Amino acid sequence: MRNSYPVVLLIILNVFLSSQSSATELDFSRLSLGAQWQKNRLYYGQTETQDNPSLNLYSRYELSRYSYIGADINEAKADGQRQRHRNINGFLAADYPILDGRLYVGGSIKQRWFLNAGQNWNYHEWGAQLWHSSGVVLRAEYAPDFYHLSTSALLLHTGITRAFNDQWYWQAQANRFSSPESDKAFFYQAGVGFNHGRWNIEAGFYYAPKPDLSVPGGRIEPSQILLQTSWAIF
Amino acid sequence: MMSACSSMATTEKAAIPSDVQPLLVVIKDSRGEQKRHAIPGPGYQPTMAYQNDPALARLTEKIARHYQLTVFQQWPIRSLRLHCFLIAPPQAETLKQLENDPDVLWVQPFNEYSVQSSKKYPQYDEIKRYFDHSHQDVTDVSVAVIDTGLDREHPALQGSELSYFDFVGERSDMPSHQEKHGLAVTGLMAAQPAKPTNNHTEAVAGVVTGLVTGLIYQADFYHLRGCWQVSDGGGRCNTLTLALALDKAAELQPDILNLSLTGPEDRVLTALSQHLQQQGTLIISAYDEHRSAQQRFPTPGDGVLYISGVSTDLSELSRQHPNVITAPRSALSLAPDQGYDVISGHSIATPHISAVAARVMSLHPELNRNQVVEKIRRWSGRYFSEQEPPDKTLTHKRYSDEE
Repeated sequence: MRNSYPVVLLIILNVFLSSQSSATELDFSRLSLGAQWQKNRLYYGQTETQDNPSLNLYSRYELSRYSYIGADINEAKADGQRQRHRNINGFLAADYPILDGRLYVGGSIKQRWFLNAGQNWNYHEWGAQLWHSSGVVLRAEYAPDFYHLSTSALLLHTGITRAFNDQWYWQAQANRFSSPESDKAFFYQAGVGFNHGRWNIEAGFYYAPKPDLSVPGGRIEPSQILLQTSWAIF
Repeated sequence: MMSACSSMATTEKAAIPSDVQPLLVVIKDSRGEQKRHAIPGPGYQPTMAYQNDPALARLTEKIARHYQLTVFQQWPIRSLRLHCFLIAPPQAETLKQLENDPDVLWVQPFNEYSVQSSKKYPQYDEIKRYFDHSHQDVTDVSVAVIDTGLDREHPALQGSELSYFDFVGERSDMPSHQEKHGLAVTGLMAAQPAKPTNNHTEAVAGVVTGLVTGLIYQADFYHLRGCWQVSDGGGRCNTLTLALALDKAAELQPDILNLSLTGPEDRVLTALSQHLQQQGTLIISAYDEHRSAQQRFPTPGDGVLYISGVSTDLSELSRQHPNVITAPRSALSLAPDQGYDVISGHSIATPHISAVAARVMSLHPELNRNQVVEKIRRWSGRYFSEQEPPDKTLTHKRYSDEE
């Protein structure tokens, strides 16, 4: 039952925020929907697809300028091991502008459901973030029952995304993962992205100084090249 | 060195009937803050250029469907995070409702602008001597010019730091390299000096170089084609082409923006020019003597200087328009087909002062924009006071460090 609380909370918050927004009916201009392919789906430094490619659908509905609700559906080849290749994530996020809208503080909740898995991996995360309109983000994510393994996990993330021009951009991030059940893990990522019309492609490098470190749910992935592409359908 | 870019960003183009005077609808960027700033959140969201986000076209479509509007064209203004679309004028009641729609910021006329046509000036030799002087370096200054197109292959522009952007595209039947006005305006500032050579290949080929040396030829130039030449030799622009060009200028953040054009006040263009001024750009515009201050574009601001070509009665002009800076209204500059020509008018007076502003900024990088403006005014006043005969021109007495 522990995992049902966030779901209920998501629904309550959704209803509340919807009532606060100016939209009285579903406004399709606030909806975005797209498909994404990833060479490897990394999550908190772990692969959820046993290094297989992942095909994902993403969606987001803007409740207001400062809040949105969304869902991702991720699918990959069944790995026969941990069976986390197929999952659905539902999330709700809200921000509050400060300093004339240059800085934002926000929070989010995310529920993760793993379908057709050999065991119950379902869990939820709380997030808090501070971000600047220049593209700099500081973010903390806390999962009280990480992968339903009766242990918590905390991810501290900082990142930046900056545009070279209309089409090209670069990004870099640093992450620190910690859990009472394991040593701290650090992993970093940097790459460039290109968008043309509705199409987007990103290539980068993921670096883990201590690969194969055992953490709840698996091991930290070794350094590798990252590649992903997406298409905004709607 | 020289780069070019076609920057047409409009979508959903439809022909505007000749008997229709369209209206421009400006809507706000309805997207959420995280999406607008490409901030990753708990779910994936691709980093997407503002103008490519389908949400903007969908909001336009929603408004058009709701009010049964005919949309001709739509385009984003990235620097202001606004989206614009052109419509056929609806019934008065519908227009009122549209103006009150929470997604609509404002509805405005779709305006037209003009640049002055080039004129032959007979006293060629007299003008040519203005350029017989030594040049001082002007470095680390960028100048954007919004005008008609230019011939990027002109020999005098080879070696210049010139980037070219076209926001007119198919609106004009005339090829951009045949257009005169933009080439004359940018050429006056950017034309490269003749390089010493031991052979006469160019002379044999009939290519003349070095006849004009740009007033600030070492500066960085952005030439934005936001106007096009019409059959009578004049230049035209409209709200759309100027908005696109100004939007690009806002992205480029030049130190100086040269507007050798005139036209009516326009809300979206004013918003863009104010945005540019807030970014620190000094806008140097041709003076429009036919419109009052609040009825012209650009409207007056801390970062706007109006330039008037020196008339035959200079003292009269100074009395009537004390805030207008005067400058030579004729100059030898570049012309299509690898040529040179003398043109005159407020239009050509404007780049003279743009060049002076660039020189001030280069010599005094410590000055803020207001101080630069003040220095130009003082200096201009000294040489164009009532005591000075009008034939003492700005370029004859160059701006120097002693000023």
